[in-house]
Amino acid sequence: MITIEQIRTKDNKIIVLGNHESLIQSILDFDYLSKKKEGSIVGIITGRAGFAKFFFGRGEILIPTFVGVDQSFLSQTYNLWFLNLLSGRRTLSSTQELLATNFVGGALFAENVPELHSLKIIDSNDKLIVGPASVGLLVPGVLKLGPIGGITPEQILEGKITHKGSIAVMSASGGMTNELMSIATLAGHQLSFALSFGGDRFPILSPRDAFLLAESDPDTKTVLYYGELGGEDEYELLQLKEEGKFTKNVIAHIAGTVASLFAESPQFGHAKAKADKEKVTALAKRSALRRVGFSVSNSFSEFIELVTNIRSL
Amino acid sequence: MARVKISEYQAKSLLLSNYHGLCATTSTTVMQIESHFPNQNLVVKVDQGIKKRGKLGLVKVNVTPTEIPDIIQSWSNLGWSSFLVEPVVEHSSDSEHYLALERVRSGWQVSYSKRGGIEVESSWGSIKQTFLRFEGLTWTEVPSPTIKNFIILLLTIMENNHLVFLEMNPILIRGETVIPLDMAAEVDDTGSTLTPVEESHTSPSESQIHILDTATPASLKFKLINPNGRIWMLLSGGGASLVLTDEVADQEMGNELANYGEYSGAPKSDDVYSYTKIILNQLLKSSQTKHKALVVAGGVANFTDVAQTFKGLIQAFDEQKLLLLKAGVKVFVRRGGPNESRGLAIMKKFLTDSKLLGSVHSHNDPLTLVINEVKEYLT
Repeated sequence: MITIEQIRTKDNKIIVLGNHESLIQSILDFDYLSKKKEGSIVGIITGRAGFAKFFFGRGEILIPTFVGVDQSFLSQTYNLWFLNLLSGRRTLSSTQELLATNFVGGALFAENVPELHSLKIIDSNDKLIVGPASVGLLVPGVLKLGPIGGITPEQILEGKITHKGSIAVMSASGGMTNELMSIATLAGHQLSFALSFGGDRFPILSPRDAFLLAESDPDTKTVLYYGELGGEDEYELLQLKEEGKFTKNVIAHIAGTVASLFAESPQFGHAKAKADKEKVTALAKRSALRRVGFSVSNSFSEFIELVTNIRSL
Repeated sequence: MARVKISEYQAKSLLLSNYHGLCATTSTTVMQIESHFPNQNLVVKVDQGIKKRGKLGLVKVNVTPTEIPDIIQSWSNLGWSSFLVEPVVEHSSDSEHYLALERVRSGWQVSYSKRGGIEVESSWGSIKQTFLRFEGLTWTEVPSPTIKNFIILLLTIMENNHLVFLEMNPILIRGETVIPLDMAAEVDDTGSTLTPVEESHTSPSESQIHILDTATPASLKFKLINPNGRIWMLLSGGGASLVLTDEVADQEMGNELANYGEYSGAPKSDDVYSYTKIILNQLLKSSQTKHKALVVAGGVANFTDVAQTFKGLIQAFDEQKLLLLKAGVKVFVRRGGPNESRGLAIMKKFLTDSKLLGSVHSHNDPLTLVINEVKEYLT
């Protein structure tokens, strides 16, 4: 799998599957505000060959649209990414054909991707793919792969997502990814990278993989992690810590303690967010993560306090 | 969008060859039962994905066809609507085994115990677990080749139908034959065409929002907890909604929590309007006479337009503003995201003019601050 440092040291280009104008424009705005010479989107697969009009700064640009993946992209020397905006049912078939090519990774935006489809993608490759149901991957000043960090120029500027720092943000929830980024920025910190796993049961990039990305990244000093009740992914994190494969600072919040008010855990907003056994309740995960030495908050205001108190490194 | 339970009848029909159960309702007649099961000793049970049926008295064994309609009627009076009739399989309780299959990231998790039955939880330690992948069936925890062959057969059907969880307790093993007596199954509803069980005691507002949810690409969720609660949640985002609801419980106001819910995935303002309208109608039905708080809050949205979604909220508030005022409702707002300042400005103006203003916060204020303010308002 590509490392965060390899993303920073090479040029990154994106092919978008499906059209979502404001999202594509926000990536070009990010590129422009990051002072890149040109936009990172090299093609949009819309099912029709032609051109689509966008802005790069104040100037109009034309981005080619394609019927399928054009071979001319595959022999380039840059890091090539895909941003798949197609529906849940079409995510597997449209992603599968990209896996055998030289894409370094991508983001899957759709909700409602069947679990078995995600597992097929997991089994067939080791590219850096975030999602399904992910708002994307962000490397400040370098790559914005998805709506992560916002879609208006005000959000990009205010969120300072073009500035590089030392805090990595990881979250099961798209909205909370941006919330955590905002908490870090408001506390005067900047980001090394940020990503959203998506709220599905089997995220392609697992929290374990993401922790290894943070460990190998020389810029990252602290990881901010947001998780929820349901699923056992967090138990892999403590295993990493116990085996000495992860050594950096972690501040974590696991939401979902409210489930204890119910006789049987309800299904919350995300597909994974349901505790069908004691081990996957928010409280059980909090105490397990605390045991291996991560800072785990008892409330969200405590989480904010912990982030505010990180010494600027 | 998640794992949902399916009926035992559907699961058995799909997974067992020659399955002969009868799906029953209050209108099933004695004659129908008799002709389906001539001269057989029968078992009747509630079939709505409920756990611990035996302990709750929702299973009756050794009954005759003439007794069944009355039993079903008595369960129906308790709010149940779906039932299953099967022939009794005579067996001793020490021949009851336990077998469960669950789809996990690395393959299938198989749980097996020789000591199954209604008290399985007391012998939980006897359950052996192993992981299975299709390519390598090298496992020793389940020594019987009969069960292994049965599992292999099941897994193929399960994969084809997006079944992700199956618990069989008890299950009998007779020579080469495996007989699951009770079955609980879950499918991944994003891939499956099977019908989820109807949850009992669903309120009309929950059903209405469920219908609304299926009709839009965005996500609209609502769960009524306490119709006379004083804290009503109109939240956005799967994650932020959970954090905010946690905070209500953490601040020891869980008994005042009226609902859980969230809208996300950039809903159109029409959808938000309809969603809000249903929740407000439910709130206004409350017999609670004390002050109430409505929490309109969420994280910093990536792509959901704050101004657009707030337009839908305000339209619904506007229709009911006099009744809301009379009911002692104040609205507490916190939100960030695209077009945040415009959205917050129109919300603040509306709430001030209609005297419903609790507070309005942007992303510069902490997410859970509104819950502190709610506590202050309610006490």
